[in-house]
Amino acid sequence: MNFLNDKTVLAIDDAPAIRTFLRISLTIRGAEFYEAATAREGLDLCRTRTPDVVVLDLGLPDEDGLEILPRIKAARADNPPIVVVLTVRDDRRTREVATERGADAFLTKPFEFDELVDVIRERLH
Amino acid sequence: MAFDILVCIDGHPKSHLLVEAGLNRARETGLSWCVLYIEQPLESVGSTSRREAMMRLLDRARDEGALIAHLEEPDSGKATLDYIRGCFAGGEPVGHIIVGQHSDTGLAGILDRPLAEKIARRYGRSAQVTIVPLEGHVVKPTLLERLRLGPITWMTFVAPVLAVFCAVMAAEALKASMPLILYKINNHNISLIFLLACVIVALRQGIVAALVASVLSSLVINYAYVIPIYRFNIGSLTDIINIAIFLIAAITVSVLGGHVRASAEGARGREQRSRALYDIARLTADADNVHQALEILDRELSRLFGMDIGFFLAVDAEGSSFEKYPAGLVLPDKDRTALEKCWAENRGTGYGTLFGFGTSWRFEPMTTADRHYGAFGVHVPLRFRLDPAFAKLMAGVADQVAATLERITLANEMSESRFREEREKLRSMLLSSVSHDLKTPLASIIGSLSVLHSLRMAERLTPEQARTLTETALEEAQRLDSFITNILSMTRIESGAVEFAIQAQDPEEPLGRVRKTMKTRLKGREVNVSNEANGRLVHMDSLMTGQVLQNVIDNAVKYSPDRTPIDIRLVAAEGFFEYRIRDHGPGIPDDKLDRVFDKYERLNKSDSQVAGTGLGLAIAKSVMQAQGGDIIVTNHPDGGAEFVLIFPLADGYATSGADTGGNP
Repeated sequence: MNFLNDKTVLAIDDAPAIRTFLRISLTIRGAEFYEAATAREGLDLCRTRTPDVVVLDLGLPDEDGLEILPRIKAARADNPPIVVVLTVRDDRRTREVATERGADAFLTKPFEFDELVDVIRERLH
Repeated sequence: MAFDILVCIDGHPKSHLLVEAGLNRARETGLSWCVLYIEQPLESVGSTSRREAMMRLLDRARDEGALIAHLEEPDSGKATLDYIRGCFAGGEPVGHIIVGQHSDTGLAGILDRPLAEKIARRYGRSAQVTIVPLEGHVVKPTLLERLRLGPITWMTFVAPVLAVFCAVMAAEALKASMPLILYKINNHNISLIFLLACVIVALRQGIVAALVASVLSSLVINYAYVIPIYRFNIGSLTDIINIAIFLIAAITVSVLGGHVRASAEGARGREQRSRALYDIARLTADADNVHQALEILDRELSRLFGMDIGFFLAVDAEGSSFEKYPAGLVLPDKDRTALEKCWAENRGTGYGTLFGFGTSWRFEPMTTADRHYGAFGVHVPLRFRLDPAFAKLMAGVADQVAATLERITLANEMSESRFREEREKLRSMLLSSVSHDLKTPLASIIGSLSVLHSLRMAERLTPEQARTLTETALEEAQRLDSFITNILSMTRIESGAVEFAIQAQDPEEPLGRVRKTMKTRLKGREVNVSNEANGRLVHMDSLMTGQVLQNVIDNAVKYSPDRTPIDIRLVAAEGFFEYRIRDHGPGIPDDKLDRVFDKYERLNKSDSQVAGTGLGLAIAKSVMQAQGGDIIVTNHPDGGAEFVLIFPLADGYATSGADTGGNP
């Protein structure tokens, strides 16, 4: 159940409600949880907290999630974090670009919590 | 236009005999027939009644089933022969030609074989040629008419007198400057001086004045310079010969001079016309729609032609209907037919063209290399004298107008396609905006509830966490609701389905209601309300105003940092009442101030916290304007954005206290 023990998770999303439920649910699963509302804060936390998993929203107020994706991956070159993209954009083009730039999973909003858990679990093991 | 019998007529008054012969022949044989009428441009100078008679004749012929060929040519004989040759060359099965033989061929008849004989000689073998003798004669324009005499004014007589006087002066000077013997030898120089005077008069004043000068000169020469001087000498043969030679020379020179002058005038006219053609492009350069251009052209071309003109824009490719300009134009049936033919066959039709009899309009198609716009028409007055330049001018003008129309329509099409592009962009923006705004709160709701569901089952949530998740879901659901309400309101307002119930209202009422509804949203915010309206009643729709207030307050919450206060003032001033809602956020960039009320305008396009932005303020604008008020936004001098909802105060002075007092 606590498959996220010893794992650090960073959520970058500007919607406070999303961050709230991610915080509650992922902390219960044993994760060390950090959250950011902007791309800039998110990149800072990537460098300082070296997360294992990054949950990334694309529609960020200061910069598009797709733009910072390669930098998130590069923040820890030896062991890049697993990036799960969460977005309302469900077009094929966005999905392709996200995958190209290193996204490990792509979930379109709205999604159920169990879907997210399954995706992260698969990628971690 | 196949026909078997061809009747050739000109302006002869007995032409009806020929037409009757053609009709009889057509009835006998049951063959089709055609009447060829060559109208000479100068024919209509003298008598309009004769032209009308010809038109009636042609009308009758057409009623009897004849085809009509109505041409405008200066030389009727040549034109007739050309037409017949064209018929045979074009494989026309002309079996019978009926032509008139004028009884008074006069001098021309001696020099040149009459037309009827030429036709009989050339085509007698291939067709049966019937020659009908015609009595009377074609009324030709007189010599005076052909000479294009100008109007006769007092200058017509004063100028020659002055010229002759100058010639006398010059002659006297010549006489005084040389010895008598030599002068007598050079007597003929005097004649040349007077001749020169005549030419000058001809060039300046036209033919009539020149003729006056010629006669005057010959008299003066005879009286003053032919020996014996100071006496009229017409006694001897020599004198008469001298006078005659001088007169002939002077008249010839005068007529030539008059012609030069007339053709110079013609050239000036042509130059004016070509300048007018050039002007069409210049005048319409600023017109940005077809109607504007046509209005200008109508004015200018009416002046150029000195006639009524009209533009007929084809509505469809069949030419079944035309948009007329000026709009009130009504065409007689025959002209209407000519217009349709002009469109269908893409050539000039109507007055003075083939088959153009009975028409009073002349039409010329307005076409460019790849577009057909319709026709340009001129209403030719009955007395109008056709000249060969007319057809050229018509064609030139029609081409220019078509080019102008093409330029304008091309420009409009370009801006229209840009408009479509914009609209398409707006539509896709709306779609992505709506889907984003619907899905973001839904994602929070589904996420929170699914966590609640799966973890509560495992009994791992603390009551505190469970409450947070429930609250989050609830707030987001409310946000979703208000967003959907906004979309529906906007749709209803735009389609005019909203009815406003406007009545006198204490402005604090809707505000209080909204604050209650927005309690969760305003959590952690200080809302400072100051009512400076002194209990004034305001005419408003309470429910709709509440929605405006909610949207504006919601906007203030979204765009200012957490825990900063929101100030709301209710202000009554002379003639109006205002709600002023101010936040303590960063304010609105100056360049975006006037765009915040645009539909779907998002100051921050990827800001998912602010579901429903754009629509909310657009709705606020529509609602306020529907209530006779307005909403504006400014940046407060001390920071933050301030929205002002303005209501007019019609009667202005009633207070809620007075009102309740008066109506217990």
